[in-house]
Amino acid sequence: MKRLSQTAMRRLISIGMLLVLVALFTILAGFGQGKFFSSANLIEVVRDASVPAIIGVGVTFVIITSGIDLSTGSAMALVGMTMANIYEYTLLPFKVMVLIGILVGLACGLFNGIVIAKLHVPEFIGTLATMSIYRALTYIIAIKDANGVIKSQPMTHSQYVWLGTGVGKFYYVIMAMIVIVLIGQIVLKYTRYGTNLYSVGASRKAATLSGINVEMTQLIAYVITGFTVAVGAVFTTARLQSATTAIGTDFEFNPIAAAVVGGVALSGGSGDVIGTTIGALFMATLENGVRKLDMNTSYQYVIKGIIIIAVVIFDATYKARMDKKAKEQGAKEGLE
Amino acid sequence: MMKKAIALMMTTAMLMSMTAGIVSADRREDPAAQTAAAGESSKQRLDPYAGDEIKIAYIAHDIGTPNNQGWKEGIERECGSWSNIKVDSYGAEEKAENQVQIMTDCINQGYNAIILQCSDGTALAPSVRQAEEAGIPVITVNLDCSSDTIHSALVMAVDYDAGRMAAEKMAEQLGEEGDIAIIQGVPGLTRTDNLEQGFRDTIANYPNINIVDAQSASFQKDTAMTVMNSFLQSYENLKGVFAINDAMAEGAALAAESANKKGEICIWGADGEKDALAMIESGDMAGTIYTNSWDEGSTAAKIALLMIGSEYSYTCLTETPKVIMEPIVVTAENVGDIAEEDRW
Repeated sequence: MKRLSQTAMRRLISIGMLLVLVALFTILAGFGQGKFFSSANLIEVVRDASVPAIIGVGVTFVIITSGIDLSTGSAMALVGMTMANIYEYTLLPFKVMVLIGILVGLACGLFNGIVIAKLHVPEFIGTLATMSIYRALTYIIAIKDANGVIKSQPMTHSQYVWLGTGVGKFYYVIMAMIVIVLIGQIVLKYTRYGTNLYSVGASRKAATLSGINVEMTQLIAYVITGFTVAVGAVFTTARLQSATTAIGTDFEFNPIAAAVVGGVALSGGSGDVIGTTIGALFMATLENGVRKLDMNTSYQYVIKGIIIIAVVIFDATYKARMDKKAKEQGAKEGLE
Repeated sequence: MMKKAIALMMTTAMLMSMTAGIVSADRREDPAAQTAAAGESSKQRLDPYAGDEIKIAYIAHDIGTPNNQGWKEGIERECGSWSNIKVDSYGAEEKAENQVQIMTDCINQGYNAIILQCSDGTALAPSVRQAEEAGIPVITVNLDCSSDTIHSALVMAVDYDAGRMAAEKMAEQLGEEGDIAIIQGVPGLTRTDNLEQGFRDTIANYPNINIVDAQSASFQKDTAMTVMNSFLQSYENLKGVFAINDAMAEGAALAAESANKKGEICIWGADGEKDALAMIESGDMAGTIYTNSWDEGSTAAKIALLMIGSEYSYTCLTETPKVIMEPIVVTAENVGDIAEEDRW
């Protein structure tokens, strides 16, 4: 039997973990209508995983370059609130509104990219700063009532409501996720740009020496994240049929957690989009499953935390073992 | 390379076939959905007092707060006497997005009623409509969903009038003059906006009382301490503070105490939680508007059981019916009247 490559092995493990989790909840929370393992519930799990997975595509690109983006949640709110303003105060058609929303997302990404790639601000601090800038801008442009109190803006245009639905229960957000994830994976694996992302993440110095424009590669990764954030924001506001200043609060950790669980190393240079998507499905399954475990909410949070820690520990141990093995293998081959 | 391409194609195919299966499975269930869309309720009538299995979901904005714990306790006490009634509580970690997901989840799980504290009335409106259409009565607690979404009932503490009562009593305590400030909650919530409005409208009747500032502390005690500190530094003659909830009033009182101004500033809250009542007794706070949270939760549960057991449905309503809880103005003079067992 031919030996599986290390990445293929890691993928199998991710899928395996997801399946084990699904099996676990099926045993503990039951199957059949109204239970965990039912078509209606499983499709909801995929729906809940969709927005983190879509934004996860961009975040994966950024993490592969060994960067991080903490501003995704706030940027989502800014995109949503921009569209709410257009919805409330102009007569622009729906499509233009969404288009402007996407442009705002791209602008947020571009600004992140400039701060990090061009001005060389460390990723963590840079996006932490833009996280509060985007949230503050959201408050500034928020729609206020007669007394100057911020209110949440209903967006009940039929086309908007339509976006939140799907063909039967095959929600449009799930379709969008499948398309964006596939494009993301293809870009990552089969284009020059994708290869450059890995090189930058593995070693910035080596990448520069081999003629890769490191700054540009990083910048584009942030712009792509901005795009995915905007798409996520469009679907989130469509589902809520409204925009509020609170959208996306603490959201930024969801795509990052999905990426880590899916085998994207925070140190950069490894992992891929499909892995992140499996990670997002894992997180959504966990979230959905613990709710059905018939236990106090506080304990639900504890269980969730423990499972995530267990997964990450497993991943780290596995990776260390594999690296050691690879080294031994290399040494052996060297001797022969 | 080839292997990967094949793997990719297979994954796509698997995903497609999986979702296709799910789509077709759900098509079969469609008739029920269609009747609901036609304006008829698909509500199933069950008798909670005759042993029918009943599941009630309680979905909180933030399950950790005393108010939420009070409601939860009230709901559980109300249902506790019947072993066939099960109550499940869910916390949304203060996020409307989470709450929407939990709502869909509860609809799918076929709960017989949902008691909901909306994180955001506008964002939750579509989910509330969906639940009612699926025949699940929704009873909102304190925070209504946007007005055009008719649902089974709203159980609430007074809002506008609580602001009015606090303002009147505070004005009396201040001798109808002085600078005061407001500590706001999360903007955009109907209840808190109305509370503030009631307070402002009433204070406007006292020409010598000036509202010098209003800042949000997001309902949090620790944030309120920071806000209060900045008030104390900016306004030397600050005589009074009205916080939209008790947690923030407690924070403000702590900040005043550490600035050696304990008892000098007239601090009011609203809700009437245990800690606030104790602070009124110790003189740290001047007053609050007390509502019995346990009673409020149990009232919501009673309505839920009534809806489950009756033929009533949201379709016959043109407006969401309300139950408003009795407000009690609490100051140092009457705080002792609130019995230990009524303190939540």
